Amino acid sequence: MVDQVIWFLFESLVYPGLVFVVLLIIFTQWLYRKLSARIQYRRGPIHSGPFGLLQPLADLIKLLAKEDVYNVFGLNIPPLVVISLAIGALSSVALLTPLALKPLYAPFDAVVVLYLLAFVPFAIAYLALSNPNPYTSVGVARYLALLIAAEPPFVLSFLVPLVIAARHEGTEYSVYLTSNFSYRLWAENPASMALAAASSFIAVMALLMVKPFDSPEAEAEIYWGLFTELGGPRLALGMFAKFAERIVYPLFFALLFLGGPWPFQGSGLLPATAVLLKYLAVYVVLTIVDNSLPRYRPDQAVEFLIKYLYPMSVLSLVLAVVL
Amino acid sequence: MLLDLYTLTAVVAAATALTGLVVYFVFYWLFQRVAGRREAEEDEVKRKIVFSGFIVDKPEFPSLVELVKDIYSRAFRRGFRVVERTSRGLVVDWYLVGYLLMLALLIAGVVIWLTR
Repeated sequence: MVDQVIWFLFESLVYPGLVFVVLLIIFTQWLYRKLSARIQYRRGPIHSGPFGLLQPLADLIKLLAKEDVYNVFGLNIPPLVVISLAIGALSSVALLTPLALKPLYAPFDAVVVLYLLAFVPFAIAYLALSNPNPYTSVGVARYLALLIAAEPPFVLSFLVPLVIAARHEGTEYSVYLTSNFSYRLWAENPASMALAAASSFIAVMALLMVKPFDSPEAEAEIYWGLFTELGGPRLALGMFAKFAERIVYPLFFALLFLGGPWPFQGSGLLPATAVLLKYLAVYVVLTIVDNSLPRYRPDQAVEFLIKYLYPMSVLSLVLAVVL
Repeated sequence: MLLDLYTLTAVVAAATALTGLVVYFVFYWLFQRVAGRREAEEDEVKRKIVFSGFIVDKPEFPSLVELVKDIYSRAFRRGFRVVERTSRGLVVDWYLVGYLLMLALLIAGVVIWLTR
């Protein structure tokens, strides 16, 4: 029993939990900044650490060490607790993936994953609204409009590999078990997987506010929208949650649509390395897209998502059930 | 590690709560205690909303629902009007909708009972 508790604490707080997520955020943010800089003919971070690798950590510490200021119309402690729990939720879902040394899984555990993922955007919106400002309201409204349009297609397309794997491999809607068979799913139902992969990727772009879906935080238009009134530790925690989302969503995309730990099976060093490399590939694509496309207006984004993503994701799920 | 769904939910919820509390205490509370700086001089605009150099005493916060509705009405002009009218009708006739749902549940229950 004591061994299990120690193991639980290690997995939750160190690997693949909190410490690992923090390290991965530092690395991926560095990568994002370097790639963005290269695309825009700049050098990107160079001063802190080798190749500027520690710049995101320096920025985090700078924000955390600032005085906590919230406006007179704002809330003090509750939004901080909620956003901390959201970060906890994002780092805890990693326990259900092949990244964990002893992954947790159960029949229908996809429900738990989807619930935890759905909690995070609302925590970010709550943190933003807890420091009210007219620009924040506009940003949060745009974010909620985007969530209404993107969350259901994401859930539907997330279910497709789980349904196919449950029907053909008997994985019982478990994310970890499905990820171990996901390399076979493209052969078993290619049409459904292709539609689901496309709609899932676009939904992930919208949920992560990657261009062209970044209207909630349009800097030049609504002064960073969601984050207008946030500063110091509040901004640090908000960005922490946002960057952790940028780890978890592409990670699940890699697990379910890019073969998971293939060419390896199960969990351990090699499967975890394979998953991380695939995740990084998805992240690089998202970064390049984010730096290449112009921004949609909020109504254009919503119209695009509802017109194309809803039919695509529904069709992919129907094909997964029927074929 | 294979668990049943209820145990897994409890374990993941515990991990979420534990990690969340660690994040709060380490990244907020501890940092503010150990390294948090306070301004030496405080001016009157601190903690107030300032627009164009003026303090706004009573800022207007637009309704989120109205803003979301506005975005959707611009995206789907005719379709939005139909949905709005229908949903308004459903809200007005909530008792009828509730009655129909109850009836549907009852029929489903009878069908399930008969086909057992």
